[in-house]
Amino acid sequence: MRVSEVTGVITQLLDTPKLINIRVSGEITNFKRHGSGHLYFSLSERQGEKEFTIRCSIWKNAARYLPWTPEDGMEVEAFGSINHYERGGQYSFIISQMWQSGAGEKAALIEQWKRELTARGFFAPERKRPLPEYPQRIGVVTSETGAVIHDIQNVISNRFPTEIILSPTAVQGAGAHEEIAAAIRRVAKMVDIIIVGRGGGSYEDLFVFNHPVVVEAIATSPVPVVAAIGHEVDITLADMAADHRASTPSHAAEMCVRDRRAEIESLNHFRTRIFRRLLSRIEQADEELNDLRERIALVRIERTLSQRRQYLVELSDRMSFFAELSLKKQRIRIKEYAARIQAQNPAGILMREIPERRIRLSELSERMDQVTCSRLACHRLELHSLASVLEARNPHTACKKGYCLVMHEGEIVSSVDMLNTGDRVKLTFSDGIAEAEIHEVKQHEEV
Amino acid sequence: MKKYEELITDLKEIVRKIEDSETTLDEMIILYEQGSVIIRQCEERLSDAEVKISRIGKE
Repeated sequence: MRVSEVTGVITQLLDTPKLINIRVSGEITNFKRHGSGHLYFSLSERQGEKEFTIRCSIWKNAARYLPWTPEDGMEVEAFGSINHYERGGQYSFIISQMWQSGAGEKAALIEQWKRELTARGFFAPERKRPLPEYPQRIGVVTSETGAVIHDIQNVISNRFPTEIILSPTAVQGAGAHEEIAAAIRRVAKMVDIIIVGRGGGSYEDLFVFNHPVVVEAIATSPVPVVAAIGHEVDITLADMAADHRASTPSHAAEMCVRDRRAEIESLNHFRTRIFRRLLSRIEQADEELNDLRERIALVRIERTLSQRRQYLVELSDRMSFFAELSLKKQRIRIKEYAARIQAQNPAGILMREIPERRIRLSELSERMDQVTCSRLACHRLELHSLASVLEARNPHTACKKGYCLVMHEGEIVSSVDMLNTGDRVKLTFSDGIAEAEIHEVKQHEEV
Repeated sequence: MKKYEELITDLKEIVRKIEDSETTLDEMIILYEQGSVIIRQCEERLSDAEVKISRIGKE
């Protein structure tokens, strides 16, 4: 037989009502979401030692209508047909619809709880409290063994070292809801924030977090609660009751503490801000001081003075310019007047006439001189002749010839009648005086 | 010892005062010194701190 013949037989054999439009229940394993949107996985069933597996596919079109995300370990019921893929030599269960086992009843229960708890106000948005900015202690309610506590510890130690108090609890299984609620209440008194976490899990696994006991413990917690339980599609009632909801435990830890680096950055920012502000205030003060200093500076005063001086010089220059201008005019006018006055000046007239008069005077003087001289010569001649006459009659001249002058009692004795015997007389000669006494007086007898 | 949160609150108040135009230069210098001390304390707190984990019993 050829491969195609065998393949044909298998296809034919599989094309039976027993394998078409059937309902199969099992556990999902090896779940894969292909990039194309198709889902591939297996449905498995374990019976003691034996394990049974069917390969399954949900094509993109059908996957789109699946209201939840399949995961490994989920118990499901699937509706579809067995199909033989001849090219790959494989048969697989092509699923058109799929449900989680028991989902219907549980979903109904959750809906009922939700209504009751909503009525008690546990989900009211106004109940939500803000997280403290810098919690000192963080309570973590989760399994002691899971990855949740490690994830949270890692994130917190990286971001902002804070004390963590683990309040361990079972997170699934019978009675887990009571344990979780107790763990929350126990740690609430010791911390500033509580993280309630569960590291993934199926719808079934998360079911306990819908329990009213857990929801009530969260809603009535004295400190804010961050829930990191459900998935994007399956939000538990605990998530809804929490003050804040995180997608993963790591995310919850991030929400609870700030990033240390961001914090250091913000400290640096503060430092820069206050430093800049102080610097600018100091600069401002410095400027004010400089301004004042400059205003009282001698240089500035001198500058002002010199400016004023300069202005004064300019003013005075302008004044003298105009003064000079008018002075010039005045001078010219004065000159004109002077000229006109000069024209009328008697001195001027005199000056003009003096030489003329001087000539005339000198002429006159010359003539006077001539006249005077000739007259003088005449007089001098006359005088000379008179002098010689006079000389001739000078008594002293007579004295020299032996005559003398007789004086009695100051009178010239010109006659003997003036004398008596015994009179004392003075005889004056040309070269001296002698005294004599009269002995005898005799008159000339008719001489 | 003051809580980190209290330090940050103090620091914010100091920043607010420093940025207040009413604050005098002298006050500002004092505030700046105080602010610098707080910033250093905060930084030390951030760099020194180690995560401490404890667990409480299940009763």
